[in-house]
Amino acid sequence: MISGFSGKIAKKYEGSAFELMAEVAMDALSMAGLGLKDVDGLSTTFLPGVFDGKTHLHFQASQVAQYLGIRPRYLDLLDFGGASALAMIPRAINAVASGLAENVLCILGGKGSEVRAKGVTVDGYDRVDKGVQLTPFDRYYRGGFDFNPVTDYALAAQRHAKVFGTRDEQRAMVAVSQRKNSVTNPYALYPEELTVERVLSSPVIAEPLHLLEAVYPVDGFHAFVVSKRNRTLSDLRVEAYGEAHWPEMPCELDDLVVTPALESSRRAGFDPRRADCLQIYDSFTITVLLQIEDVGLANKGEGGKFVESTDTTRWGELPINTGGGSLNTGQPAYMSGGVLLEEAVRQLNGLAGDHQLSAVRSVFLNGIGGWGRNHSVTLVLGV
Amino acid sequence: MRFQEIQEHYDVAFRRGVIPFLSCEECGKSFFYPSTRCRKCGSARLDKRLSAGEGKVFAITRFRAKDFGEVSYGIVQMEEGFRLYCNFEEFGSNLEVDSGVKVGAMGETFQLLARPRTL
Ligand SMILES: [Zn+2]
Repeated sequence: MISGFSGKIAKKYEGSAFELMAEVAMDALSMAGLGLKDVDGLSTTFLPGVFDGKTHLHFQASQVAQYLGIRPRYLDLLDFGGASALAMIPRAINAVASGLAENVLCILGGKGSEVRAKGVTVDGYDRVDKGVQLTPFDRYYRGGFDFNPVTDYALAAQRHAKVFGTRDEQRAMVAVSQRKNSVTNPYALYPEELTVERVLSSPVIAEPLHLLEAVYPVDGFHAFVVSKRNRTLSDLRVEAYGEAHWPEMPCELDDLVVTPALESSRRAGFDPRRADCLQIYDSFTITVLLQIEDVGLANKGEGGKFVESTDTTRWGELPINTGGGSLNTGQPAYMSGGVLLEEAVRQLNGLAGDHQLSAVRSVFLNGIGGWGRNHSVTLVLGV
Repeated sequence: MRFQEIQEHYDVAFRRGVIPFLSCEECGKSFFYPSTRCRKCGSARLDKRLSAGEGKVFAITRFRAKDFGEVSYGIVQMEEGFRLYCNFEEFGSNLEVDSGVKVGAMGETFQLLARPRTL
């Protein structure tokens, strides 16, 4: 299973994305006691702009392998945005179990700073490169302003508030609790304590969302090595797994307030309350709230009440995002999946340092990704 | 129906400032974002229609865009049963979920614009 891992995050990395990628890959392999010559499987992912500002890498998986100097017999390129990291793990395990490879290097990340500098996000890359198409019908869709992750989640938050009476203060609680969790995480960007008032006095980025309810795009990579033989880490197992892909335009879903996490978590069939902690995709506060409902911790519409009445800090009854999540580390290359997965692997191995929980036997992860909220992956890892 | 035909219908409608849509003759599903197949049942028997433009706000957000100032954006539930993304022209009125709006198309870029129905 997972025999090595590494993560590196910087607000702005001075160097090429390939360079940082190789550094992180080598660190993960070194933890596993492996060298590049041992790697016979590779799994990676890509978003426009995150490799040194380039819209597209031609045959990207090959370029990654080329840069690292490996010749895999198993090669995979996943395309689920923030959910890709979690989806890599069971695929790599299957590849190893079925004899397709012995050591699969799962690697993801890039430079968010390159995209940020262009004044867009990865989901609005058509604004800076006319060769990019977002939908089969951009001609009838991209005339106005503006669909991007911020406005998309703002509409979901606004609708959630209107339909269920969810208050801004309740969403802000998500950011406040996660900040408490982040205080001793060496990756954390923000040292100061957060209050509901501070979240709500930060600028509104798109009604009703505030700046401190959103992730900040940063540079970084995460690597996880899945191996047949594991020498250094605890032997983890996948206790439950489910994925769901809803390709609809969000406006064509029955409602904006449900995510495919509803379906991926049902497929996994694991009660999240049985886990010792949860790592829940946190691109925005509302993202966490929606998943709390969809994975079954609260009834639909009651996520706001849930975060008010439940202590989700790492001292509480149901710890969520125990390292503070990507709201506090920043979001490497517009994907939070690596942050969630690294934190889960650390907790399960007793390697979370000052923010280690005691006796972690299982971690419930849920990742959301894609354009709008197209993809959800539920993964429960146990030791 | 060929995509080209649908595109011509859409372009003609937009030039007149009207919202086009497709309605499935098999299952009755209506949708705005064009396809040569019904997204519900897969049928190619689609009727090209024009919307009366009447609808209600389904979701709305407001934000400041660098070059365009205050922007109001969201989703309208149209009376014919489909939803679409558009900008709102609010004239200082405070649109909210379920407010009545009239949706039209504007300009070369086919910008979809909804205005409060009462104005
Ligand atoms: Zn149909």
